Amino acid sequence: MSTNEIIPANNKISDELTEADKQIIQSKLWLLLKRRTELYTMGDSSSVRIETAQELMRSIEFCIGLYLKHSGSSRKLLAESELEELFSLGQKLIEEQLELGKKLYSKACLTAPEIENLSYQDTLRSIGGFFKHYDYRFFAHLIPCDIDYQLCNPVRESMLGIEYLNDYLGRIIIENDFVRKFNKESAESLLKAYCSDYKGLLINLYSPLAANSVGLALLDEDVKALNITAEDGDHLSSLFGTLSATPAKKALHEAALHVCSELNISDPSSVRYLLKTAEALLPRISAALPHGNLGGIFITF
Amino acid sequence: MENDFSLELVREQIQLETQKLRNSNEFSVKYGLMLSEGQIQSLVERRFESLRDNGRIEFGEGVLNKLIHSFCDSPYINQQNYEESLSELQDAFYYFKNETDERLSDDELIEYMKDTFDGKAQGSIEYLTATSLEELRRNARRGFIDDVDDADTQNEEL
Repeated sequence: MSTNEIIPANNKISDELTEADKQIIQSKLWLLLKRRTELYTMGDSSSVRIETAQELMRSIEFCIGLYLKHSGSSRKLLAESELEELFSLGQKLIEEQLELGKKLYSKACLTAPEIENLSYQDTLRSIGGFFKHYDYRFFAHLIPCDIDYQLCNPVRESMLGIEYLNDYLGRIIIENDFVRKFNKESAESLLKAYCSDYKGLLINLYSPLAANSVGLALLDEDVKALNITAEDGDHLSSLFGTLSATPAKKALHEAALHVCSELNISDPSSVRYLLKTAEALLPRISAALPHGNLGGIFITF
Repeated sequence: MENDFSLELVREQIQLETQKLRNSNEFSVKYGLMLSEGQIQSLVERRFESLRDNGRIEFGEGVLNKLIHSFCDSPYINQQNYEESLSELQDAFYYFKNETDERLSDDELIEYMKDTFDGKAQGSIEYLTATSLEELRRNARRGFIDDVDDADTQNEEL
């Protein structure tokens, strides 16, 4: 039995601390793990599988880490305070986030685009089960649902539990609102041209619409039309052919702002989301430009 | 640092377990069973090996004290096989904790082990681990924690 098995050497909690602090925290963590394990087994079992203890420890780290992050507290607090108290404060934050998560989920369902996509629908359905299966008292870091639908700008992999879910839902709401700005038939035509089996395959609904609307904004055309004709594509190739990286990035940035203006998108998160999406087009454009065809980025239908 | 800390925790657990086993002699002596200091040390060491072999982690005292209190009145345990039996029962206990998918509490598992050890197994730990608890494991996974012996007895009567 070794604490090395449950307290990783590169434990995030352990940076910025002296060796003495670390030793105190290790000791407190062990005692908290013992207490949580007793509660988990309800006193029925003196031992648990190592894998279970590891998960319980990750949950403790997640709860305490969440509290430190939200309160802006220094990690020194870990050495100076009762970890059980910090853990409880973290649990309260999780309860609050759970309530927020339920509201976000409801909004995500209500704003879901009417475009058929299997992974999107399966993911939303599965997230509904998250709220039944999320055992935040013992396994707060886990995400007990299947999230298959790929976002245009994914959630950071370091996020866990309810924090991950809420971030995912926040992003999907942004994408929903954007997709719903367009005529359904036009959006479906674009998606079909982008991927013939857009209903069945794991594709993101937002990104082709974002790319084409930004492309149209660059050409000063109607962003809601969505279609980038072959001629438009040639113009875009010519445009980017004359621009170096910095002006190209600036052009994409301005085009994204123009799209937001045209579509009445004023929410700062949604604006940032589209700006990030537009700027992410640049490496793809740079890679495609030497071949003289941006048809894989700006879609013609 | 972590290794020092880990060693300190293990040392603490060893001390606790050793003292518990010394105290248990006062109880088991009524049944003519005693553990020497050497046997106590050996059993405590075996506890950590058994936990490691079975991929488990334990806080506080181990299960030996409970095993002693439950098994010391068994007709199949005597002073000659006392240490060996406890060691094997301890191994079997951690093994079956995994096998029963944690669906049995420590006390339930020990109770079943004792019933089977004194009953169908007739003191054979090999039989206990190879047959009877395997049966229990299957039943426990199906959600039935019925007394297998009762069912067998009824079948025999029919």
